[in-house]
Amino acid sequence: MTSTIDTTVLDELGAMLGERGPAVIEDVVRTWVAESPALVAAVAPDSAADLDAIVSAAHSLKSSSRTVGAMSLGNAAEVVEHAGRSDDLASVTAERENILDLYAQAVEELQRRHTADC
Amino acid sequence: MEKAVPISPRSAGSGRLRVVVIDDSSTIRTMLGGLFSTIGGFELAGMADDGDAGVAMVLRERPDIVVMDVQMPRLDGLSASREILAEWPEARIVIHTGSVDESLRADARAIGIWGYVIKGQRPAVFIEQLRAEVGAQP
Repeated sequence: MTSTIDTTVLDELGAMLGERGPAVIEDVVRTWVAESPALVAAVAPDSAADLDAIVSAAHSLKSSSRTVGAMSLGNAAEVVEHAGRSDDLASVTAERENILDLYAQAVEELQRRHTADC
Repeated sequence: MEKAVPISPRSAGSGRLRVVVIDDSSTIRTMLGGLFSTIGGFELAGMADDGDAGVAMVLRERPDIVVMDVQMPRLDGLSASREILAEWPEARIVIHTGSVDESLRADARAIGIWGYVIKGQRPAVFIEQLRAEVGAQP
Protein backbone atom coordinates (compact mmCIF):
# COMPACT_ATOMS: atom_id res chain seq x y z
CA MET A 1 0.00 0.00 0.00
CA THR A 2 1.26 3.50 -0.81
CA SER A 3 2.02 5.62 2.25
CA THR A 4 -0.40 8.44 2.97
CA ILE A 5 2.06 10.07 5.38
CA ASP A 6 4.83 12.47 4.47
CA THR A 7 7.31 11.22 7.06
CA THR A 8 9.63 14.19 6.58
CA VAL A 9 7.24 16.43 8.58
CA LEU A 10 7.52 14.62 11.92
CA ASP A 11 11.10 13.50 11.20
CA GLU A 12 12.07 17.16 10.83
CA LEU A 13 10.23 18.06 14.04
CA GLY A 14 12.10 15.28 15.81
CA ALA A 15 15.44 16.51 14.50
CA MET A 16 14.69 20.04 15.73
CA LEU A 17 13.73 18.81 19.21
CA GLY A 18 16.71 16.52 19.79
CA GLU A 19 16.31 14.06 22.65
CA ARG A 20 12.81 15.36 23.44
CA GLY A 21 11.76 14.63 19.85
CA PRO A 22 10.30 11.12 20.17
CA ALA A 23 8.22 11.98 23.25
CA VAL A 24 6.84 15.18 21.73
CA ILE A 25 6.05 13.44 18.44
CA GLU A 26 4.23 10.65 20.25
CA ASP A 27 2.26 13.28 22.16
CA VAL A 28 1.39 15.14 18.94
CA VAL A 29 0.26 11.92 17.22
CA ARG A 30 -1.81 10.80 20.21
CA THR A 31 -3.43 14.23 20.38
CA TRP A 32 -4.27 14.15 16.67
CA VAL A 33 -5.71 10.62 16.96
CA ALA A 34 -7.90 11.81 19.85
CA GLU A 35 -8.95 15.09 18.21
CA SER A 36 -9.55 14.00 14.64
CA PRO A 37 -12.56 11.60 14.86
CA ALA A 38 -14.94 14.47 15.61
CA LEU A 39 -13.53 16.49 12.72
CA VAL A 40 -13.76 13.57 10.29
CA ALA A 41 -17.33 12.85 11.40
CA ALA A 42 -18.23 16.48 10.76
CA VAL A 43 -16.45 16.61 7.38
CA ALA A 44 -17.91 13.32 6.14
CA PRO A 45 -21.34 13.09 7.78
CA ASP A 46 -23.64 10.12 7.21
CA SER A 47 -26.48 12.38 6.15
CA ALA A 48 -27.04 15.91 4.88
CA ALA A 49 -25.53 18.44 7.21
CA ASP A 50 -24.96 22.15 7.59
CA LEU A 51 -22.40 23.22 4.97
CA ASP A 52 -20.95 25.87 7.28
CA ALA A 53 -20.21 23.20 9.87
CA ILE A 54 -18.60 21.01 7.20
CA VAL A 55 -16.42 23.89 5.96
CA SER A 56 -15.32 24.75 9.49
CA ALA A 57 -14.41 21.14 10.32
CA ALA A 58 -12.66 20.66 6.97
CA HIS A 59 -10.56 23.77 7.60
CA SER A 60 -9.47 22.42 10.99
CA LEU A 61 -8.87 18.89 9.69
CA LYS A 62 -6.74 20.28 6.85
CA SER A 63 -4.32 22.06 9.17
CA SER A 64 -4.10 19.46 11.92
CA SER A 65 -3.60 16.61 9.43
CA ARG A 66 -0.79 18.43 7.65
CA THR A 67 0.82 19.04 11.05
CA VAL A 68 1.30 15.28 11.47
CA GLY A 69 2.29 14.74 7.84
CA ALA A 70 -1.07 13.36 6.68
CA MET A 71 -0.86 15.44 3.53
CA SER A 72 -3.27 13.40 1.39
CA LEU A 73 -5.93 13.71 4.06
CA GLY A 74 -5.18 17.41 4.47
CA ASN A 75 -5.50 17.90 0.72
CA ALA A 76 -8.81 16.02 0.63
CA ALA A 77 -10.07 18.17 3.50
CA GLU A 78 -9.07 21.26 1.52
CA VAL A 79 -11.12 19.99 -1.46
CA VAL A 80 -14.13 19.69 0.85
CA GLU A 81 -13.47 23.11 2.37
CA HIS A 82 -13.38 24.81 -1.03
CA ALA A 83 -16.39 22.87 -2.34
CA GLY A 84 -18.34 23.77 0.78
CA ARG A 85 -17.48 27.45 0.45
CA SER A 86 -18.85 27.27 -3.11
CA ASP A 87 -22.07 25.58 -1.89
CA ASP A 88 -21.07 22.56 -4.00
CA LEU A 89 -22.73 19.85 -1.95
CA ALA A 90 -22.21 17.24 -4.70
CA SER A 91 -18.42 17.60 -4.50
CA VAL A 92 -18.52 17.55 -0.72
CA THR A 93 -20.48 14.29 -0.81
CA ALA A 94 -18.24 12.80 -3.52
CA GLU A 95 -15.18 13.26 -1.30
CA ARG A 96 -16.71 11.45 1.68
CA GLU A 97 -15.37 7.93 1.01
CA ASN A 98 -11.93 9.28 0.11
CA ILE A 99 -11.76 11.18 3.42
CA LEU A 100 -12.76 8.09 5.40
CA ASP A 101 -10.23 5.88 3.58
CA LEU A 102 -7.36 8.34 3.91
CA TYR A 103 -8.17 8.92 7.55
CA ALA A 104 -8.15 5.21 8.40
CA GLN A 105 -4.81 4.75 6.62
CA ALA A 106 -3.29 7.80 8.32
CA VAL A 107 -4.31 6.68 11.80
CA GLU A 108 -2.95 3.18 11.24
CA GLU A 109 0.36 4.38 9.83
CA LEU A 110 0.96 7.13 12.40
CA GLN A 111 0.19 4.87 15.35
CA ARG A 112 2.43 2.14 13.96
CA ARG A 113 5.32 4.56 13.47
CA HIS A 114 5.08 6.77 16.52
CA THR A 115 3.12 5.33 19.44
CA ALA A 116 4.66 2.81 21.78
CA ASP A 117 1.59 0.63 22.35
CA CYS A 118 1.13 -0.33 18.69
CA MET B 1 20.32 35.71 5.61
CA GLU B 2 18.18 35.55 8.72
CA LYS B 3 16.98 38.93 9.92
CA ALA B 4 17.63 40.06 13.46
CA VAL B 5 14.77 39.51 15.85
CA PRO B 6 14.27 42.36 18.32
CA ILE B 7 14.25 41.32 21.95
CA SER B 8 11.79 42.97 24.31
CA PRO B 9 12.99 44.20 27.71
CA ARG B 10 11.06 41.41 29.41
CA SER B 11 12.95 38.65 27.62
CA ALA B 12 16.29 40.43 27.32
CA GLY B 13 17.71 38.59 30.31
CA SER B 14 17.17 35.16 28.85
CA GLY B 15 17.80 36.15 25.24
CA ARG B 16 14.75 34.13 24.29
CA LEU B 17 11.53 35.29 22.69
CA ARG B 18 8.53 34.53 24.90
CA VAL B 19 5.62 33.18 22.87
CA VAL B 20 1.92 32.76 23.58
CA VAL B 21 0.10 30.31 21.28
CA ILE B 22 -3.66 30.75 20.74
CA ASP B 23 -5.24 27.94 18.72
CA ASP B 24 -8.34 25.76 19.17
CA SER B 25 -6.60 22.69 17.70
CA SER B 26 -5.06 20.59 20.46
CA THR B 27 -2.81 18.94 17.85
CA ILE B 28 -1.35 22.27 16.79
CA ARG B 29 -0.99 23.49 20.37
CA THR B 30 0.85 20.30 21.28
CA MET B 31 3.21 20.64 18.33
CA LEU B 32 3.90 24.36 18.83
CA GLY B 33 4.19 23.93 22.59
CA GLY B 34 6.83 21.25 22.11
CA LEU B 35 8.64 23.39 19.60
CA PHE B 36 8.73 26.67 21.54
CA SER B 37 9.61 25.01 24.84
CA THR B 38 12.54 23.13 23.33
CA ILE B 39 14.32 24.88 20.48
CA GLY B 40 16.80 27.66 21.04
CA GLY B 41 15.74 31.29 20.94
CA PHE B 42 12.19 30.77 22.19
CA GLU B 43 10.34 30.27 25.46
CA LEU B 44 6.73 29.16 25.76
CA ALA B 45 4.86 31.73 27.88
CA GLY B 46 1.47 30.04 27.59
CA MET B 47 -1.21 28.56 25.38
CA ALA B 48 -4.94 29.20 25.04
CA ASP B 49 -7.63 27.34 23.10
CA ASP B 50 -9.93 30.23 22.18
CA GLY B 51 -9.81 33.95 21.60
CA ASP B 52 -11.33 34.95 24.95
CA ALA B 53 -8.81 33.01 26.99
CA GLY B 54 -6.06 34.15 24.64
CA VAL B 55 -6.76 37.86 25.16
CA ALA B 56 -6.56 37.44 28.94
CA MET B 57 -3.36 35.42 28.70
CA VAL B 58 -1.61 37.86 26.38
CA LEU B 59 -2.51 40.91 28.48
CA ARG B 60 -1.27 39.11 31.59
CA GLU B 61 1.94 37.61 30.13
CA ARG B 62 2.94 40.41 27.71
CA PRO B 63 4.89 38.00 25.48
CA ASP B 64 7.28 39.01 22.69
CA ILE B 65 5.21 37.16 20.07
CA VAL B 66 1.59 35.99 19.91
CA VAL B 67 0.94 33.15 17.45
CA MET B 68 -2.77 33.55 16.70
CA ASP B 69 -5.14 31.16 14.92
CA VAL B 70 -8.06 32.80 13.08
CA GLN B 71 -10.99 30.37 13.14
CA MET B 72 -11.76 29.70 16.80
CA PRO B 73 -14.84 29.32 19.00
CA ARG B 74 -16.21 32.14 21.17
CA LEU B 75 -13.86 34.82 19.82
CA ASP B 76 -12.07 34.52 16.46
CA GLY B 77 -8.43 35.48 15.97
CA LEU B 78 -8.99 38.84 14.33
CA SER B 79 -11.48 39.94 17.00
CA ALA B 80 -9.13 38.75 19.74
CA SER B 81 -6.29 40.66 18.07
CA ARG B 82 -8.37 43.85 18.02
CA GLU B 83 -9.04 43.49 21.76
CA ILE B 84 -5.37 42.89 22.51
CA LEU B 85 -4.17 45.80 20.37
CA ALA B 86 -6.74 48.16 21.91
CA GLU B 87 -5.19 47.48 25.33
CA TRP B 88 -1.60 46.93 24.23
CA PRO B 89 -0.83 48.51 20.84
CA GLU B 90 2.79 47.25 20.89
CA ALA B 91 1.74 43.59 20.83
CA ARG B 92 3.40 41.61 18.07
CA ILE B 93 0.68 39.30 16.82
CA VAL B 94 1.45 36.84 14.03
CA ILE B 95 -1.59 35.27 12.40
CA HIS B 96 -1.16 31.51 11.92
CA THR B 97 -3.82 30.25 9.57
CA GLY B 98 -4.56 27.61 6.97
CA SER B 99 -6.19 30.26 4.79
CA VAL B 100 -4.36 32.06 1.98
CA ASP B 101 -7.23 34.51 1.58
CA GLU B 102 -5.90 37.92 0.50
CA SER B 103 -8.84 39.73 2.08
CA LEU B 104 -7.91 38.13 5.41
CA ARG B 105 -4.35 39.42 5.04
CA ALA B 106 -5.69 42.87 4.26
CA ASP B 107 -7.99 42.78 7.30
CA ALA B 108 -5.08 41.66 9.46
CA ARG B 109 -2.87 44.48 8.21
CA ALA B 110 -5.64 47.02 8.72
CA ILE B 111 -5.97 46.26 12.42
CA GLY B 112 -2.23 46.29 13.06
CA ILE B 113 -1.34 42.60 12.96
CA TRP B 114 2.44 42.20 12.84
CA GLY B 115 2.79 39.18 10.55
CA TYR B 116 1.12 36.29 8.78
CA VAL B 117 2.32 32.67 8.54
CA ILE B 118 0.57 29.82 6.75
CA LYS B 119 -0.32 26.70 8.75
CA GLY B 120 0.55 23.16 7.77
CA GLN B 121 4.11 23.81 6.67
CA ARG B 122 7.12 21.83 7.80
CA PRO B 123 8.26 22.93 11.29
CA ALA B 124 11.60 24.38 10.15
CA VAL B 125 9.84 26.47 7.50
CA PHE B 126 7.33 27.70 10.07
CA ILE B 127 10.09 28.80 12.48
CA GLU B 128 12.05 30.45 9.68
CA GLN B 129 8.98 32.37 8.51
CA LEU B 130 8.01 33.33 12.05
CA ARG B 131 11.47 34.75 12.70
CA ALA B 132 11.35 36.61 9.40
CA GLU B 133 7.91 38.05 10.09
CA VAL B 134 8.92 39.34 13.50
CA GLY B 135 12.32 40.58 12.44
CA ALA B 136 11.08 42.22 9.25
CA GLN B 137 8.92 44.74 11.05
CA PRO B 138 10.17 48.14 12.13
